Amino acid sequence: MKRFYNIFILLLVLTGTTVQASSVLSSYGPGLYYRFPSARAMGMGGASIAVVDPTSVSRLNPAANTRLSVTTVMLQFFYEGNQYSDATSGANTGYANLDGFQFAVPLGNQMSANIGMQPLTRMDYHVSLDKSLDGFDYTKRVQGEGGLNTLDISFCWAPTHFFSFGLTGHYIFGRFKETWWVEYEDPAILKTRDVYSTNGSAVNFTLGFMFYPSERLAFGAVYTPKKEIVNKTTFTPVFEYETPKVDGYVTLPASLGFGAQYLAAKNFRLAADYEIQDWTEFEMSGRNPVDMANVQRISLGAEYKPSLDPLAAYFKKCTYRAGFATLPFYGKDRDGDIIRETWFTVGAGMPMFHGLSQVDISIGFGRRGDLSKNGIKEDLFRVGVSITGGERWFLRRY
Amino acid sequence: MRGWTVRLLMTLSFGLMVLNGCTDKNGNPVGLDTFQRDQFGEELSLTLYAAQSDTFYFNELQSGLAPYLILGSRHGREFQSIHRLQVSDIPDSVVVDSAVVYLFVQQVLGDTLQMTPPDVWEVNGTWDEEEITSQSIVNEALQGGKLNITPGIINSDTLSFHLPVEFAQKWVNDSLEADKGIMLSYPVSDDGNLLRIYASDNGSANGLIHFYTHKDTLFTEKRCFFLNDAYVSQYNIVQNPNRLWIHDGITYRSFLEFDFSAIPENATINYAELNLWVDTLQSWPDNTPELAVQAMRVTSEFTPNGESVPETTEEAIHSGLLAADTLAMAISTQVQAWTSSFQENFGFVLAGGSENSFWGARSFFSATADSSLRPKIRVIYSIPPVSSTDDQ
Repeated sequence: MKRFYNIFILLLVLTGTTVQASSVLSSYGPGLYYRFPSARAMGMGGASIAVVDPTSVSRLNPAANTRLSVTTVMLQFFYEGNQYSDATSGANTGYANLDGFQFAVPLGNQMSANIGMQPLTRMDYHVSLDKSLDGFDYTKRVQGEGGLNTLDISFCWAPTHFFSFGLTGHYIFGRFKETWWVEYEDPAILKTRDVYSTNGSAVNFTLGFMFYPSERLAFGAVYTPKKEIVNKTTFTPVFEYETPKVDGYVTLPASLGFGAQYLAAKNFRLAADYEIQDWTEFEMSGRNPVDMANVQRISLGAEYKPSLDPLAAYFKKCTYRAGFATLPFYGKDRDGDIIRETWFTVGAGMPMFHGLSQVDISIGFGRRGDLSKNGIKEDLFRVGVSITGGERWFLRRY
Repeated sequence: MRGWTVRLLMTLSFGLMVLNGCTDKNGNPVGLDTFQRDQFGEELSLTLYAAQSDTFYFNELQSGLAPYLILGSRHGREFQSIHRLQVSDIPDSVVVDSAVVYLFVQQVLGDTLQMTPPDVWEVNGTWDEEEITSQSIVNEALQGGKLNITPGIINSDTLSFHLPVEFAQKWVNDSLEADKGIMLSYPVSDDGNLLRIYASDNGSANGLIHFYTHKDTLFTEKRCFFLNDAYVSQYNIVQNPNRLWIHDGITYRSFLEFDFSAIPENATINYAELNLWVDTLQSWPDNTPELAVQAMRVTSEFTPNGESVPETTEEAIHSGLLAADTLAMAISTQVQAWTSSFQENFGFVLAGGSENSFWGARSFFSATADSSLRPKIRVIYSIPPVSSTDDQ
């Protein structure tokens, strides 16, 4: 138990240091909304609502974890490179970090519980503007950072072999910091540094369901209701005059997702997700400066394992994946046009230690926006690594 | 197996932290066209003119320990000097023929060709050089009868005059009386002279009285130095003047007040500069050398009704150096304190940078002047945007 506690604390600390995405689009709303829940799902274009696997923990659908057979710790690593360009400028940014964890314990009788933590939104942008006032040249810069994380506790149960359900309780928390600088070239003129720091928190839940009409076919559904995140914002200017905290809120719209999995063969899996989240319902304290979109994500993925023979060559025992996803970005451009986001992904799952543990790797190539249509384009490159360690805990040894 | 899990997680965590350090954070700023906010905040400049309540005043002065005394009258301000001596070693049997007072002038502000003898008064009673004030002179009726003096040498080095013989004789005859003294003053004038006189505490050029006496056919001369002296000056307030004054040495000060209510409380003051324009025709004695100027914050409500002078901080909040014919003093931090309500804005007082040592004055155009010459503060400030998440 002490070991579990140590690991938990370590993961909690490391997850909290997640570096934020570098994109001006993260200035929209609560920051870039997190879409790919695990490296395994990333390899399949994000399709994971109905994907059930005894060697990995589903972070999207709590009902999909009833078939875990061993105590499982899943650690997620995430890298994203972003090649940004617009009509006048461009930038290359990248980030890497631990991206959450899951700790799942099968309870027997087709029940399991797990605890985990993962990013929900990420904000990191840096824009600047050159201006002049009364002959004094200055630069105005805005930098935003922070994001929301969610600490999850899930429980799932399969009362029958063709149905299971799960419930995840989310404690959503996070901090946003937006800093505005005004920097004059004349050193005699003092700089402005205004910092808005917002702490937000909320409690929400996700309901998940799985239906298994046949051994080959599975359907899943998840629903997370709309939720207001209560904010406390402080304003601190450069002269260290901190104003009283101002109450506000951010409304995260409800999301509803459906998924399907079809086992074309014992070693070949097809999966699809459809998820809808209407961001036009998004509000920040009753307003939103950005025109938002109704996001409908479609993900398609396939997974193939060359051999099920445990004595086969190692690379034949690995799992290979490919996927595709398309969705509109949740914020529209200045002209009100949709900013389309498209992904092609590949991945592999490498079993370790007799199949109880696995390392999943995924690589994604994505594009967000269109230079001619939206005036902005982001070429994205993502690498995800999930390490899943499975051990038989809480079993009596004779 | 369980140990493997722990080792793996620890190793992985360390590796990820290293990778995190390689992350390219906060890249060069891009995407301004995509960045959308209700408000971007504003950078503004504003010129504020002094309120009509600006006031020119003198602080009350009292100094019994200074190396110099101030005597004279200028700009409606009157300085009186008071001097004490003992005539204990002159026999009371002698006849006083003459008693000549000598005071030695260190500096004259004004016209040395128009110097006049002072009014001289007998001093009644005792006084303490560290406590005497203009008010105590009145309250304790220290000022006695006016003496009919005979002028002696009056130039930029020496001020001398003959005391009435019968008055001096009375001093000699009454040599047991410890406190004897005279008080000097000039009629109140706007354009008179101010004399800076060596005081008894100066250590050199001490003022004295020459007693010329005789007994029978024996004529003697006796010098009696002043033992103590002091100078006093009552405060005076000039409301809505056409000119403001700053004067080292005799504490001419000016009160200025500006209304900053147009600047929001959460604004950052990037720069605030006070500008004053000197009336070079009135500067005194001339426009050189450069004059150090200090600004002191007024700490309580000041109503320029002529009954009191502003209460100020002891230390200067800002200082500047007057060059040529203008003063440009950066006062950004003080304006920030006022606009952000750290401190209540009761205005500020301008004074000479070395009121106890330097000897010079500058006259500035006041709030009654044309806007091009009126005292003003130019403020460059920035207003923050509205937060994207707070409740408006």
